[in-house]
Amino acid sequence: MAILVHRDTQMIIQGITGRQGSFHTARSLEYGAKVVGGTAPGRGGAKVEGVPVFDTVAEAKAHARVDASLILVPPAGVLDAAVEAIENHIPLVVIVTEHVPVLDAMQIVALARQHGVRVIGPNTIGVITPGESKVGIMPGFIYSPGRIGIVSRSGTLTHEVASNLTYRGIGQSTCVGIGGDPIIGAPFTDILQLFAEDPGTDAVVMIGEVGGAAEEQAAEYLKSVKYPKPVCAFIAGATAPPGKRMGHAGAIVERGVGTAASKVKALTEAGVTVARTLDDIVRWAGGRTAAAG
Amino acid sequence: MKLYEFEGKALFARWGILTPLGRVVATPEDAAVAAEELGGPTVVKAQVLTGGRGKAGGVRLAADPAEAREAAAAILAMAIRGEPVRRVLVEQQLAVAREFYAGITVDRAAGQAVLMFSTQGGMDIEAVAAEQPGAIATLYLDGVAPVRRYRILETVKRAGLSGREVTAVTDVILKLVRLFFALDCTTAEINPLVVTAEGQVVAADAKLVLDDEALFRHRDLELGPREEHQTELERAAREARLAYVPLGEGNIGIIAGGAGLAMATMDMVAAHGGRPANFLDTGGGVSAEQMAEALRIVTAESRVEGVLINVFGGINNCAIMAEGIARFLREAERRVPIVVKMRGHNQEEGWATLAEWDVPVIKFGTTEEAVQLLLERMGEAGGGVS
Repeated sequence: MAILVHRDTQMIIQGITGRQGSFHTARSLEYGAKVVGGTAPGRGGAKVEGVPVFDTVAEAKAHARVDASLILVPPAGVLDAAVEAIENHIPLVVIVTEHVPVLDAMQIVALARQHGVRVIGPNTIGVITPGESKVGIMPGFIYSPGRIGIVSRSGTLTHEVASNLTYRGIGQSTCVGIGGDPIIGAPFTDILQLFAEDPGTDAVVMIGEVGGAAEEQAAEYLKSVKYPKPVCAFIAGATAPPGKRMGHAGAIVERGVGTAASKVKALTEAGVTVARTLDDIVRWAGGRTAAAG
Repeated sequence: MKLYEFEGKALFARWGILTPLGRVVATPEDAAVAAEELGGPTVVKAQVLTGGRGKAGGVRLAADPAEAREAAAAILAMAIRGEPVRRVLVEQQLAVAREFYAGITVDRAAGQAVLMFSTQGGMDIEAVAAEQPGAIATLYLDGVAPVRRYRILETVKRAGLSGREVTAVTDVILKLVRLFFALDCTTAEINPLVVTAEGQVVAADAKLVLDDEALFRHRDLELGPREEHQTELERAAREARLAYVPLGEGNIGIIAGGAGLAMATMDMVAAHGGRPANFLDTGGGVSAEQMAEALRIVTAESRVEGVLINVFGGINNCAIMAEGIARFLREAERRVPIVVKMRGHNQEEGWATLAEWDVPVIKFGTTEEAVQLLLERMGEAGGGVS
């Protein structure tokens, strides 16, 4: 068991003929993901790595069952691509693209809610269930199957933590990058809820960063439901100077909101183990799997 | 992108929101001429992007052109929170009957925009929120459902507005909402929104912030250069689409792919007693030239004595990033110790390139190990040089 993505998940790639699209089609197929099609308006009838290309999502759906879409189009095209996937009722839509306009993300999130579609991202690495499949752009070989769930705002920190675990013999059930942007489809709480119900996940690593209040909300949720599994959290940016935008729009401490201290406090009060460094996560997870085994 | 007040007001005028008559000038003499043309008492306001202008003395009243000249001279000599004042806005003074607050911003948690209206105009909205949360009425806007006039009317009524002002204020806010969505704003604020003695509703101030990621849709706005307090390195980084943040007095440059990893690396350097000098997030889809430029930027200042590069081949490609590092080394005039932690797509090719240049690579180790190795190398290099 795992969450969101499984061995039999059938996916399409929107923007499949682009540089990122074709590269990640090959990587996805290598990993064993079932890429049943791709879209690129005006390129219908072509093939990428043997995968059929369609002009529209509806045509791709007519050709095969589609459980998920991986969106790899440039920022200006994301709104239309995502809405197309949502209005075609693709259950899982993963938006990798960064630099998506805020108001576009807002519309995508609103429409996804109306249509009951789960959107992950924008600005995410996607979702991987190691050893089974992935709907994302992560290098699959630094992830390994196991029983630790990972949910993270930061894509590369997910790679970091998963690979550190992998090289020390600790596998992961599913790893989800929720995306680093201010407005995203699925917050921490949605994914934590899925992990709570997943019999394949023994413990959860949650990776946050300064800016916004997503971690505080997650803490509130964990406390209110008396979360049934052990959680270890790490917050990046404890030494970040306030008022500076640290890399992308989501990571900024403004007017005292979104400090690492506030997040650590809320999570600690919710009974979460807060890792002081990235290496502390590996030590904690080692203890959890030993206990589980 | 923050807009100057005068730019915001020009856009307000285009959307049909009334603003006081005014002129933007850059010298005390022109301020006097503007005051003469406008006639009557004026207000002279510093045009800066930073907040706290009023408290810093950047807004002054002038009874006549001579006073306007004096006020402009004083304000143009100021720097507000480090930002030199290059222009002032000279405006007709309003006969104020009442002052309100109207603003729209992005609520991250809700994933929606939120309109806030309060009858406590002129005050900092956060102070109002803290002291009298009931005084602020809000309306959430999801960017999909059309904005209904009656919903705004209900909102201003909830804030305690009544009588004729209700419809006049509603109409101004409806225009502000339309402007917010049409221009891809992340903030659109009028504080204060003034009702004059003659009953007109006028935007006495304008605070607009446009979404940087949506500027490609608004090239026609032709906004002039800003953020003049940016350093040359910050400008170079911006041009190369790299997120560069100088951090003060440290001696370690940090390049990482992704903000989270960059911040975690910075935290780890600090945890080991190192002092980060700067922080650069390459972002995704980085080219060899961008990586070379990243290294040029973080090593540009002589105090940087070592660089930690912490990257993954995910949306990026290890072979391309290593090529960029090699390009930098080929042309670098000053060599400082560099430690690279890199794995992911095309890692074997990337590692091979770095091996040719004798750059130490942490292949399977953690960020902590990379930091320790860099500090060791810097110790050795420092010993050798000094």
